[in-house]
Amino acid sequence: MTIRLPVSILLLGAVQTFLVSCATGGSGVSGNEQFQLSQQEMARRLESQGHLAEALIHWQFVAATQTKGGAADLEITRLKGIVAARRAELDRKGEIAISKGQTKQAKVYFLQALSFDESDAEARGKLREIDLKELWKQQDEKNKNAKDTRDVEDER
Amino acid sequence: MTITPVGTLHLRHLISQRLRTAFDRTFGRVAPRLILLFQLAATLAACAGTAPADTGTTGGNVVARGDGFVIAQTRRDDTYEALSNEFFGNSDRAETISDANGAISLAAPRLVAIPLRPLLASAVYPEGYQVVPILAYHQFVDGKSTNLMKMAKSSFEQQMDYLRDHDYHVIPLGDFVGFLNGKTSIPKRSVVITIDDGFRSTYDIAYPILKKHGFPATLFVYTDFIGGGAALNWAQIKELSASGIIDVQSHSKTHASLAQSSKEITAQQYASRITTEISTPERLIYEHLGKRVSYYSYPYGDSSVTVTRALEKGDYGAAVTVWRGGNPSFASPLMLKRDMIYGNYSLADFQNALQVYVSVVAP
Repeated sequence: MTIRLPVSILLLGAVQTFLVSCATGGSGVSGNEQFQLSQQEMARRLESQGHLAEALIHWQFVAATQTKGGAADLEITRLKGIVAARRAELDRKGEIAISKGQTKQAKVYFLQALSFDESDAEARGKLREIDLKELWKQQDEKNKNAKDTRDVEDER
Repeated sequence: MTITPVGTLHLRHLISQRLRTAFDRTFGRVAPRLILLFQLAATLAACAGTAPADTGTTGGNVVARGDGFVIAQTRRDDTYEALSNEFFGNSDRAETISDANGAISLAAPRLVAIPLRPLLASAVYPEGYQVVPILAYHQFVDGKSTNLMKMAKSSFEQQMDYLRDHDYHVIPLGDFVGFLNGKTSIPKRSVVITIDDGFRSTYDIAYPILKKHGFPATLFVYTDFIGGGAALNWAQIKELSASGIIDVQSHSKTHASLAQSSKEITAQQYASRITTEISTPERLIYEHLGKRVSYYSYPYGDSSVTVTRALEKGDYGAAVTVWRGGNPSFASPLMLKRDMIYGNYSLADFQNALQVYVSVVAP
């Protein structure tokens, strides 16, 4: 009877060690944990570099491997708040720049807004509008000149 | 009967004290040996670095799903190319999958994120944004020519070699349109090749070189030219179209500028000409190739609001000008920029046309 307790504990310990070893590939960290750690590291690094949209994506990867309401979900909520605030500020600055006729500056603001939030339809639309306006200005000038040339040729 | 140790412990709660005593007498003798065996197995497993899913599972072993991505278990010595092939049927997404996982080594089995759609569809980053150059060629010649619109075979071959050797990805125009719509992921150094008019030299010179490199290209034909002396005939166009390398699209009927002429006094006169310039190639290409065109190349690159409205109404996905520069994800699909590649271009001139990224200075 003296060996009953040690046998049970040792046996359980052995089984546990075996299972953990299998699950971690010998590293002591499970595949899930390893994945989460590497993705969290990427998310934090990207956020520190100002790549908020990309950081958000990596937190979403982590969240998919955690239970709902986990640490990653909290990070996502926090980051989404920062993105929304920055986006609103940049869109507003872009609008002001446009109203002052500073299209180059406006373009930079809208590009920043779009880099933070891909779903920023306002920034995307404004960027397209700015580029298109410039293109049409050149095209109309070219069409007008071509028309003048044709008119001269017709008169001859 | 085989009893596992875990099952044994559970069983012990169910059997009588008498039986338990007998069991312990027997089991107590073999326990030290069993423990040693398990410890040995654990040590071996640890040393071998064996993960649970590495027991014959495939790289496509999905363990979790999210909005637009899955988390999958890889095999030992997996590669991003193999994962791309497994999930998407080709290796095109290898770079995207690698980026999503920080290009981490897949030598040991591990969990990886597989994005099912572009990570950042707009390719706009805080420091800059991706642009896609669309190259425009016209005619090709075997020897040399002083005509700027004629590209020497040797120069064209050199340019295609340059694209291949410098990590550029030549993508079909359709993929680029998908990128504009946020539906298709394209590689970072993407380039589109287009050839205007429908000269026979497209068939004789350009096509074999493009085929050799496996580079897709879009051929814009103006239909009044087809069958002419220096032009392609419908049989050749059909062959090019069937190759899977060349996508045949519209370049108008007559190749006249689509800008309003001084002779077109009323808007109606002008609109009527535009309708003909758009609808005739549509009909002829459909009759000969059985395909509906969806892209348009403006003759001389000239467009107008009347033309773009007509194309929009006709459900065209893209139209190309000859205004220089690369195209970002927010470019207007019916006013895409293109870089004319002239016959007198040196390799350095060609390199200058390959702008794939625009840097932005943060405010």
